[in-house]
Amino acid sequence: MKLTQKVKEVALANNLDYIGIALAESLQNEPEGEKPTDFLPGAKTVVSLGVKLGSGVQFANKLAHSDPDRRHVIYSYLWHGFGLPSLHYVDRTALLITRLLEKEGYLAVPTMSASTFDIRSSLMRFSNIHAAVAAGLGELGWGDLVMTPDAGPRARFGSIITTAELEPSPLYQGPRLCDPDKCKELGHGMPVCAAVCPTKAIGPDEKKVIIGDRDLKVAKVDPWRCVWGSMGLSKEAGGLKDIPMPREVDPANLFSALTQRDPTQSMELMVIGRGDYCGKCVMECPVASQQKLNELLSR
Amino acid sequence: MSLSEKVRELARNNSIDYVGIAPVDRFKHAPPGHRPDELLPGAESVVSLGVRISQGPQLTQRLALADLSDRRLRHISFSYRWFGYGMINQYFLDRTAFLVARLLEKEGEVALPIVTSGVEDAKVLMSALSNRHAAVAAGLGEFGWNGLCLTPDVGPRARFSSIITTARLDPTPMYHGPKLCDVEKCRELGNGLPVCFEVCPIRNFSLERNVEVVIGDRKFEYALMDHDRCAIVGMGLHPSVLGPEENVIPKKVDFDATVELAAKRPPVYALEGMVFGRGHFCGLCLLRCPVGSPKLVDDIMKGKEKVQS
Repeated sequence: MKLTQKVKEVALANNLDYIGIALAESLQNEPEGEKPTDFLPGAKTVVSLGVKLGSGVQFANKLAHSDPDRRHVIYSYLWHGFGLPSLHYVDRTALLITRLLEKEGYLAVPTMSASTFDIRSSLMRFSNIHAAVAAGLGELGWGDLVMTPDAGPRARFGSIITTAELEPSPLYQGPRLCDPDKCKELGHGMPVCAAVCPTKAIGPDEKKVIIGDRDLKVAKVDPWRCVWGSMGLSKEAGGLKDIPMPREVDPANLFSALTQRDPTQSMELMVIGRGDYCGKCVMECPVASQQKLNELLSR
Repeated sequence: MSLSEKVRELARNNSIDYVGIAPVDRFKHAPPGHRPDELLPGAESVVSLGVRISQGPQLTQRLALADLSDRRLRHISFSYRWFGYGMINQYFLDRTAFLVARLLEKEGEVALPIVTSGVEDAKVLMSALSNRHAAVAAGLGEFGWNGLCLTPDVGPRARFSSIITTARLDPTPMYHGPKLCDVEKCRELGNGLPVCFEVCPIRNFSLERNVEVVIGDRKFEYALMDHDRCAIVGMGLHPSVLGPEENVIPKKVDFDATVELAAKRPPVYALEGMVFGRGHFCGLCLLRCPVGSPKLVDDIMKGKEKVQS
């Protein structure tokens, strides 16, 4: 069996939903220090892995956000929609694939699925999202998230950078999934992801992303504002207390805000580490949205 | 299939690279309070599990620490922190130890898994049972001068976990192969000093004082080291492992000093382990050890590190 096929089999045997392979050179336009070859000199390909979020945990997120009396159901999303798929499924399988590639004589560097990497600069210093797009798992949405044809942005991704010359997957060629102009009609003049973001972290400024031969334009996302929401530092983002958000969010004021959380909230992640309290840009995206969840919500 | 074979098979099926079994009498010289039969009365055996650290994560840590001038590649070392430490410990070793404990329990025995990277009492920095010592007792390798368990194939580049059990399992012989760590030879590579001493950011090993350890029929000696000072570096509180640049480590470090340094960390450093808990920020004594050093990684690192080995 070919090595590419073996890699895919490990992924599928470990409950992953998406597996694709990108040429490392297709990500050579990533920022300095964030290219595959910065992590692994001589890198040839990048394996991208993805797991879909379950319908029930998506519903838990929506219910908790829509009804304060049901906030406690957010825990199912925090763990089963963030920590568990990221750490136990994607990362664990990434290490299994790393071990397989190493056994075959190659070097492989797995990158963390839900990582903070070096928090000085941003959330991620290797974009698992761009790697997933380069590996053909979907297209890049305007909110700088991967859109897969069947789940839209409702999946978590991880990557393995390797010196192995695996067979690359073609880039996504299907119908356009994210149409920001059409989406503006749903989001009262702005794309839904930007409209629902409680910290206004998405756009309106745009940035250029080059993946392979594709020149793409996506929203500039302020990672610190995004973290403010993700950590539940406002009620709208799923927190228990509204902590005033400064115009410029940085690690210092974020850290200070964490100390100002309602004591109940600061204790509730004690067991699972960290979960994502917000996720609204993912949950409310109209691409591949499950209407049945909204129907359940209206019952 | 015997119970010992079932244990081994379960471990192998869960991507564990090393499995060994030590009868508890090999631990009779362990410090009081840390003997297996004191932790589990009636204990008969200790199962030791080990997983190799993959080469890619090793490479990222060495690349990140090789050039501290502009900290350009600091972020890539997080692949080591998680995939070379936390992930192996929690989701491979601890997870399998839990499965082995369940298997033994199903067979009518009591089994007590020891946390892989746990320090149960932070004030004494000593786990309930030393997983390193258990690995040596179970024949998976022998101690190096740096006090780590060296295996014949990867030297100290593996992590270990243990399960104490009342089951009388078939013991594995202790390692009696060729000497793995030759300090005198190593001095030639480390400018007159053992490589692990030379690359340690705080030169934490004693060149004069040794620790004597008796396990089973073997007597070992390894260099005394200050665990509190090692912990400061491992926690990333030292500039040489890409911690806060302004930190100065006092000569005498104790638990209170560690807590104080951790509390004074700039917020950026306090936040960065929040997803995966704690990773190890250093590891140079094991990553740079010449025993079992991976050639593919060494080739990439040629000429990039201050101390060449």
